[in-house]
Amino acid sequence: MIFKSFAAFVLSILLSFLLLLGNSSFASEIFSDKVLAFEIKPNVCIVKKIGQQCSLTFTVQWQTVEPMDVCLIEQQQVLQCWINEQQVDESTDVVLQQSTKVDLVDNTRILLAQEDLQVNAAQPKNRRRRLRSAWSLF
Amino acid sequence: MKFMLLWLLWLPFLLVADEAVEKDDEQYIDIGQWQVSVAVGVGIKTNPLVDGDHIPLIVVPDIAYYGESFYFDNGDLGYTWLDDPLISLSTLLRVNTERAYFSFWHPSNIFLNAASSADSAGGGTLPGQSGFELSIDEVANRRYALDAGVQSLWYFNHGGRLLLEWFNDVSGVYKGHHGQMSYAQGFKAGDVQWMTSIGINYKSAQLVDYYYGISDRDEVFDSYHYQGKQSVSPVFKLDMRYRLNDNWQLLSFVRFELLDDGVKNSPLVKHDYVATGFVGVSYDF
Repeated sequence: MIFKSFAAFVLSILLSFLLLLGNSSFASEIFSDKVLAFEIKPNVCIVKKIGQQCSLTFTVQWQTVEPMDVCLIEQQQVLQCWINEQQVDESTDVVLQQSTKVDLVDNTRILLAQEDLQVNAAQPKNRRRRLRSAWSLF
Repeated sequence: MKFMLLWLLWLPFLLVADEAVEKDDEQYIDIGQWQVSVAVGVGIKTNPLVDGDHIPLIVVPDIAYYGESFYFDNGDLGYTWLDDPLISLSTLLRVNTERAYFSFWHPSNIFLNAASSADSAGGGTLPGQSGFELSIDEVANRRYALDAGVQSLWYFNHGGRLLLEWFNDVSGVYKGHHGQMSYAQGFKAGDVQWMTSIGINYKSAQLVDYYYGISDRDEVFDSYHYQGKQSVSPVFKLDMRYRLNDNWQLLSFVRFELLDDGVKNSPLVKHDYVATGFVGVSYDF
C-alpha cells in the first residue's frame, strides 16, 4: 500500500514536469523547404520591469533556395521587405510591448519561418501571486 | 444533484457582478516580507462528528511569507517550480486537517463549551437504534498526518483560476491520498470585492477508513464496525471584502462542503455537511 501511494506521488511529480516541458517552446522554426536558414540575433530584449516598452535592434539572416520576394512581420506589422533576394544579413529595429514572434512570409503571406523575440525583466520581480486563498486556515 | 445545487448557488453572484477582477491586488504579496493580518468577529466551523465540538471563529489569522520560490501560506510550506502569468506549479507540505474534528483541545472546549457544544450530551446510540451513532469520546485516538503534494493553478482572463491539488500521506498515518479541483472567480460589485469558488474534494478509501472507519482498534461492539470508502464531496466558497483604508477591511466568508456517503455513513458522523461562516473586521500589520 505504501508503495502504491509512493508510486502515485512519483507519477504526480512526473506529470508536473511534463507540464513544464509542454510550456517551453523552440526559439526558431522553419516551415518551408524553400528556406535554408533563418535566424534573428539577438532575440532577447531586456527591460527594467515587465510591461515597459523595449526597443531592439536585431540582425536578421535568411537564405532561400532561389531568389524570392519576402517580408518580415511582427503582429501583422511589416518590419521589412525584400524583393527578389536569395540571401540577406541586415539590421532591423522593432519596439516590443511583450514577448512575441517574428514571421518570415512570402509575397502571398504564406509563413516560411518563425522566431521568438523574448522580453525579459532585468530586475527580479518584487511581488508574486499568493497560491493559497487568504483566510483559508480554517 | 448536489453539484447542480451548488452551481445554482454560484451563478447569481456572476450575474450581479459589475466587473470581473482582472488583477486583484489582494492576491499579490511582496516577496521577502511577512504578511500578517488578524480578523476579529463572529463565526463558526461546524463539526460533523457525534459529540464533536463546533469550532468558534473569534480570532482568525492570515499569515504568509513568499520568497522567490519558497513560501509559507496559512500552514502550507512549499516550493514553486513555475510561476508565469498563465500557470503556477508547486510542491508543498501541509498538515492534514481531518484530525481537527477529533480534537479535545481546540478553543471551543476552553472558551465556548456551553455555547458551541450542542451535540455534547451523552454518548452514542446502540446499534439498531434510530441514528446508530458512536461518540468520538468512545473510539481510539486518531493521529495528525503530514501530507506532501503537488499544486497547480491555472489563470484565466477576468480573474478566474483553476486549482488542482494532489496530496499523499508521507507520515505513514493513514497511508492514502486526497485531491482537490476547484474553480474560483473574483469580481467586484460596487466597492465590494467578491471571490467565489466551486469544486470537489477527493479522499481515498484509506484516508476515510483511518479517520471515520470503526474497527478492532476502537474496542466497541462489532456491530459498530465500519469500513470507510473513498469520497468525492462538492465544496462551495464565497468570500466578501470591503476595504475601509490601508489597514482595515470588513471581511466575511462562507464555506460549505457536502459529505459523500463514504464519510457520512460512518457511525461517527452525525451531520452530512461541514459549514463555515465568519463576519468581522481585519487589520493588516
